[in-house]
Order: sequence, then structure tokens, then C-alpha cells
Amino acid sequence: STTNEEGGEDFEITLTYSDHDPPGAMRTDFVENVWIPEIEKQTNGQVKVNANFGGSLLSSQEVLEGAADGVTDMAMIFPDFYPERLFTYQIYKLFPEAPEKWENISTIFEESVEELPKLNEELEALNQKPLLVTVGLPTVFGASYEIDGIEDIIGKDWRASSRWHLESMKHIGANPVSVPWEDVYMSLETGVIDGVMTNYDGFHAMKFYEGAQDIIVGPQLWWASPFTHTINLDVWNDLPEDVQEGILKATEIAQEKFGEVYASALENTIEAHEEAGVNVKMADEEDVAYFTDEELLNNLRNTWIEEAKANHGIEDAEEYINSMLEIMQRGLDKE
Amino acid sequence: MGEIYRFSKSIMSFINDKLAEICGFLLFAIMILLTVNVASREFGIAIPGLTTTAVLILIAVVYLGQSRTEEHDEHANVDMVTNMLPSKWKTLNSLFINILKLFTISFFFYGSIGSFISSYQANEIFADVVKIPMWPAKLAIVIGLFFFAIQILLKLIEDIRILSKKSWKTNK
Amino acid sequence: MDLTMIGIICIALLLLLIFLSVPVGIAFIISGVISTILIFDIERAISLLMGAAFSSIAAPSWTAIPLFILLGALAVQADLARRAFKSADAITSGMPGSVGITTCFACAGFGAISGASIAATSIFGKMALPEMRRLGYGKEFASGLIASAGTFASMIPPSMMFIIYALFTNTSIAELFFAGIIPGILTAVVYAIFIYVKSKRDKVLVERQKAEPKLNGKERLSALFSAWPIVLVAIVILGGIYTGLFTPTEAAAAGCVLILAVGIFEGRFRKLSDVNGALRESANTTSMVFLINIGALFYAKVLVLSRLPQDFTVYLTNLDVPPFVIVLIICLVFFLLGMIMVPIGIYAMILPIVIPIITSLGYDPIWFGVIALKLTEIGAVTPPVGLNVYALKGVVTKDISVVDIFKGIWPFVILDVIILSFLIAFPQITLWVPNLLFD
Ligand code: NA
Ligand code: NA
Repeated sequence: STTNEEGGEDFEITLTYSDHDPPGAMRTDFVENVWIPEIEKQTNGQVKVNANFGGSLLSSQEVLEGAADGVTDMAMIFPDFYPERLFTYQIYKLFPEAPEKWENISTIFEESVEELPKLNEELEALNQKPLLVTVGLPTVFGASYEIDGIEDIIGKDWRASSRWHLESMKHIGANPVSVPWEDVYMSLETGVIDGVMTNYDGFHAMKFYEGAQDIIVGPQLWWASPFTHTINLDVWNDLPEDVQEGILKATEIAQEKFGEVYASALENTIEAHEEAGVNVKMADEEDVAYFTDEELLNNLRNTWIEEAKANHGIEDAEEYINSMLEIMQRGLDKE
Repeated sequence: MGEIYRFSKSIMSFINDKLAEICGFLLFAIMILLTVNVASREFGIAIPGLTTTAVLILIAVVYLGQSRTEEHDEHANVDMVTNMLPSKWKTLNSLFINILKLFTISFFFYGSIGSFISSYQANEIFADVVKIPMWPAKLAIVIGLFFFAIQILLKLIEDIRILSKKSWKTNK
Repeated sequence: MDLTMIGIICIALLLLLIFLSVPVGIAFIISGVISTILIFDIERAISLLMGAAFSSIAAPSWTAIPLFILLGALAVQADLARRAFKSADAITSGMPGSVGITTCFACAGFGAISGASIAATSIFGKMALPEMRRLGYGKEFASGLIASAGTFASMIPPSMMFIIYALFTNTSIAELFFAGIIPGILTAVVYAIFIYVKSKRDKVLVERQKAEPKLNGKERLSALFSAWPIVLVAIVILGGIYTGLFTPTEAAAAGCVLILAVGIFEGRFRKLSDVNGALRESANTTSMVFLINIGALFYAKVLVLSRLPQDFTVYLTNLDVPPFVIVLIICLVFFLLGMIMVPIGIYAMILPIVIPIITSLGYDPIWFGVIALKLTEIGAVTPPVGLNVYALKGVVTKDISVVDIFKGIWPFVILDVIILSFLIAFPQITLWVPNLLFD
């Protein structure tokens, strides 16, 4: 049994959690202040979670291996960092338009996991059991110049963060530039890049608005990849049944509470940016249309299908796309 | 025995030289690529995946250079205590340290093989706008650490040779 | 075994190994591996080590470091460095400590280009140190000066460490950048005064300087003019960064290409072998410095697992003492950890614990950002783990040992501590510029 430094109480089980994002942001706050306390509560104090944020234990590049090998018991895994090993998760990026409410987004994640078995198989292959799913705030377009709509990114140097975004930007007519994430702040300030397309919470946490004072927020354009909070399967299987139940219960409660956090985080961030003198616009249908262009999406999806078949053994890749189309449509219809 | 040792030493020296040449060339390549990218970006053409390529090259430079740095005793240490020791004790301390180093780097090397194989098999790629495989970087780690370990072994043998000569002298 | 016990073993082992002159990078790896095996098992020790072995280098901004090291090496090879410092000497014309003072302010100027202390240290270790020694500066003094002044790169914007701090504390990067300017310049000025006073009292140094050939007006002008390539490189790099032509990493590459071009133009570089040496040497220094970095970042992860630093910090900050003492305790924690850890590790481990305390006590997190950075700057040069000292060791001649450099940093560390206490006592020094601009 492990001793806790504050009270000297004895916990039966101590679990390590690793998250590469720094504390104090929307998601990490939620994990630290909602999910973990709930786990400790629902397991009647049998479980203590030692959370490590900011990549202090495992960085975004290390977490997959570290979680699989059991360096950490629980982890936050962001599929965008593993475009090949979590290839199936890239499928969400092929459906840029999504519902705005968390309940509908989470239904999309739930249904896709049920209908597309490869999603869970990829995590199982890494010895991971997915518990909680969260998501980043939707897409923001931050420019260091005045923009009224997406048409204003044409001909400008924009930073793209994934191959799918690169293709979209090219298609629209911007010059995609690859600047490392940690150089984006300075690059916006000095003008190496004119703008950055990213998730709104990351944009806020990295203070990009200090250099990109003109932004378009697109709640309809979700950040697509699920932030997946997992537990090592060996660790999970060794847990007593009542503890497993407690963790699942806690996760269910937390999962539901994330909706409020998500909605208010979007509002608060917009408010904070307006207060900081940022010119905030909301994306309209025309802006969204640039990203849902049929030719563009067909190209992206065909690329995904080809690779899914050739490299990842997903023979029914077309089916995957069709299922996702239906799932997304159902989600959109609910709004 | 002495022949084999001297021969191995000169072979390692040659390999280290070649590795240093490769590292120098790689540095030169990053330098040129980054500069070309600055110029071409002005015309709206950026080289995709360049920063990742630079990272891959940096990893190669770091690991492939280890054995030459070791050969020339350039790995920084705080040599306060050893400087106060008499020469025989100095060599004994060096022997002890080289054994530690050999264990550590062999362990590291062993780990790097597994890491390389799993990276290759899983087709691990960097998260970037183009697909750049990670395995070349991890292979560079394997190669770099291999020669690093060999170089330490040679240093260790050198210590043993010095010690055995010295004890032979004192015995006489 | 108890985790805290393992943490203590982990630190004790590191200190012992470094004391026995085990190379620092390897000392980190040994003590980290043994501790991880004690916590887990061999497989997971390998997993953690291999993760760090890769990801501790796989950050794109690290690429700037070998390129800046190369820039220094090429500048020496093309004989640009010597001319630049000669020119500085010509301007100040025999003022005691002129080359030291020039180096000090050149480091501050380099701070406006790069946020990497290691780069600053190795570039000036390469370019300025030989010239200082030629003029009779003691090896301890000269190397201590460069290792310490190299840390200006973190305090003077742009600064990677401020960006990381902002990320962990939800503070404004711009405010932090502006907050760092006065403390950065203040430190450079205080160092310069110290160098002047020390050099003036140094009879040997004064004699050596007097023995330098006297320059007449024309010679002085030509010495001044001969520095044009370095001035050009500085202008191109600074101009290029602040007009948005390139990022600091790209600036390093472009600077190398420019020096190469000047070298070819002036006939210094005729064949490949003329630059080959600089290339290999820079690659070597890179290998050395990064082995320490790999070890240090791996080691930081092991300490995170042991939870010793976190528990220690929580314990100390829960003591029933006045708020001001809590702040001093937090500074002490940073100072102590700075002795054995690299800044990024300290920030990730300690900031989440101490920032809520700092803000709840009513202190400004921007102000604390500068204090924390000053402390990590000190940590970058103090033994046994001073990354800047090792980076400098990577570029200097063999007759300067790590111990010599550690002996040389003390006067500067004392000055730093004095400046730090002023920054703590008078937050206005730090907050004046950001408040002026942002409130
Ligand atoms: Na700087
Ligand atoms: Na230190």
C-alpha cells in the first residue's frame, strides 16, 4: 500500500496518469478537478491517481510507448501525434463539419467506436483500454492581418498541422507552411507566417492571439480528433472488480459533465479574446463550405481508403467512410 | 594481443573519422535546406516536412558522433577528484568508470535495437504534413550507440593494458 | 522500496557518479536507469530511457543549437571572430576589460536573436574566448564570464523558457518578454561594471593590454572596418527575424550560409577541407552537449516518478511561515533543483505546484516568471549540473577543464544572487515595462 504525503492515509492502489498538456487548460483542468476526484470518490478512496501534466513524465511523442509498456498506468493519447499507428482515428479529420454540442459529439465518438471496430483494435494492440473521451475546442483561424472570411487566407502563408489540413489549405489557395508548434508564437509576431489554423483551446493556451489579433472561430468545424484517456490493460485486468466499477462509474459521470465545461470554455475563451482586443468573428456557412467542398473531401477520403486497404488491413475501408457519413449526418441532424 | 588491440584501435579511429564526416555533411545539409526553404517560401513554395527532416538529421548527428567524442575524451566530466589521484589510482578509477560506461551504453544499445525494430515494424512516422518515417533516426541511434560501446570497450582494454604493465613493473 | 527512498538514492547516486568523474550524461543515465529498475523493472526502465533518448532531441527548435555552434566555428575559421573583437578593442582603445565587456554585451545582443543559452555559450566560447585569453584574461575568469553571460539568451526576448512558463501558468508571453528586458540588460550592465573593475585591478591584464600595438587613427578605422562581416551577419540575422523573413532556427542556418559566402568571397574558404574542420567540430560538440541533454531529461522523468521533488515542494510550501518566506522557500527549491536538473524539467515538475501558491499569496505571476527564469539561469552554471558550463567545455581547448569553468562562474553567480534579491525586493524593476505597455 502507498502512503499519501498530505494525510498519511493508506490507499490500496496508486495509479499514475500522464498528460502532455500543461495544467490549467480546459481539458487538463477537467481531468484534474473533475475526473480524477470522481475516481477517488467512486472507488471510496481506494484509488489515488498521481497525475503528471505538461509531459513531465511522458511527452506527446513518448506517451504511446510509455502507456503500452506500463511506464504510466493511465494516459492521455492524442491520435494526431500518431498518424500511422492510430491511423483509423484519422478518419474523423475527413469529416470537418460536425455538431456543436458535446452530447452530439460524444454520440458520434460512441457510435463510431461501435461501428468501426478497428478504432478500438488499434488501442488494444497498444495494450490500452479507452476510458474517457474529451475533445479540443473547435477550429480557429488566427490571422495577423484583417480577415473577414476564409477567402482571405488565399495567397497567404498559413501554418497547417496535419496532412489533411495541408491539403485543405492548398485546395483553398493558401500557402501551407510548416513551422514547429513552439515557433508559431514568434512566427506570428514577426510575420514568418500570416496565420495559423488550429484548435481554439490550443490557440488560447499558446497565446497565439497576442500575435494573431483577427480570428474566425468555427464551432461547426470541430477539431475532430478525440483526446483519448486510457488505462493500461494489464493494470485494468489486475484491478478488483469493485474498483473497476468505481472507475467506470466515475468516468460516466465525468463524461457527462464535460459538456458544460466544453460549452462554457468556448464562451469564456471568446469573451477573454474580445476583452484582449482580439477581433473575433464566427464562421458562417460560406466559410464552412470551403472545407466541405466535395472535390476536396472526395480526394482526402480516397487517399484514406487507399492507405487503409494497402497498409492497415481495413478491407472494407469504403464501408468505414459510409458508416462515418451516416453517423455524422445523424449527429448533425440532432442539432 | 597487442597487435589485435592496435589494429582494432586504428579501425575504430577510421570509422569514427568517417562517422564524423557524415555528421558534418548532415549538418551542412540542414543548413542548406533551411536556407533554401527561407528563399523558396518567399515565392509561396515551402518545403513540406522540412522541420521534421531537420529533427531526424539532428538525431543522427547526435548519436553518430558519440564514439568519436568518446575516442577524444570529449564527454564532459567533473574531473576534480581524479586530478588529485596518483597516476595508478587514476587509471584504476578510469577502469572503474569505463566498466560503468560500458554497462550503461550496452544497456542503452540493447534498448535501442528493440526501439528500432518496433518502430520499423509499426511503420512509425513523425506527426507532420508529410509522411516521414522515424526508423532512420532510430537506426542512427542503434549504429551510434554500437560504436560508442565499442569505443568504450577499447578504452577499457587500454586501462587494463596500462595497469598490467604497471603491476608487472612493480613486481619486478 | 519506498518511492521517496528511491528518489533520495537517485539523487545521491548522481552526485556520487559525477564526483567520481563519470561523464555527466552517462551519470544521469546510470542513476536514472537504476532508480527506474527499483521503481518498476528492466523493461520499463528501457522503455522510459528510449522514449527520452528520442523525444529529448526530437524538438524542432533544438536544430538551432548545432547550427549556431557551426556559425561560431565558421566565424573562427573565416577569421571573422578575431577581427570583430579586435575592432571592439580598437573602439574602446585600451579600456580595461574591453573585450570582456564587449563579449558580455554581445551575449546580450545574441539574446535578441536566440532563446538558447547553450547556443550563446558555445558561439562566444568559440569566438571570444581565444581572443580573451590571448589578451591575458585568466582561463577561469574568461570562461566563467562566457558561461554566465550565455544565460542572457533566456532572459532577453525571444525566450523559449518564457514561452514554456506562459504555457504552464496561463500568463501572457508578450508581458513576460517585456518583463525580461530590464532584468536582462541590468545583469549585463552589472557584469560589465564588474569586468571593468576586476580588469583594472589585474596588473597582468593591464600590462598585456598596454603591450598591444598602439593604433593610430587610420589603423583604428581599418580595424573597425574589418569587422564588417560580423556586423553584416548580425544585421541580417536580427533584421531577418524581426521583419519576419525567417524563424530563429532558420536564422542560424542563413547566418552560416552568409559566413560561408563571406569566407569564399574573402578567399578564406577555397576548398571543402577549409570548412570540413568546422563542420566536424560542431557535430562533435553537438554530440557531447546532447548526450547530457538526453540524460538530463531522462533523469527528470525518473525524478517525476519518484515524486520526491514534488513532495518536497508541497511539504515546504505548507510550512506555517509568512508569505514572504514561502516565496524565498520556493526560490530555494528552484535553486536546489537547478543544481541537478535542467530548466524544462524543473518547470514541468514544480510550476504546477507553486504557481497557485504564488498567485494566492498575491504575487504577480509575470514577476515570478522573471524570478524563476533568473534562478534557472543560475542553475545553468552552478555545479554539478550546469548545462552552460558543459556546453562551453565542448568548444574550448583541452587545457580548460570543467572544474576551471565552475571556479570561474562564482563571482557571476554572486552578482546574479544580488540582482535576484533586488528583483525580489523591488518587483517594479520587472513589472515597470509590461505595466507601461499592457495596463
Ligand atoms: Na533570447
Ligand atoms: Na546547476
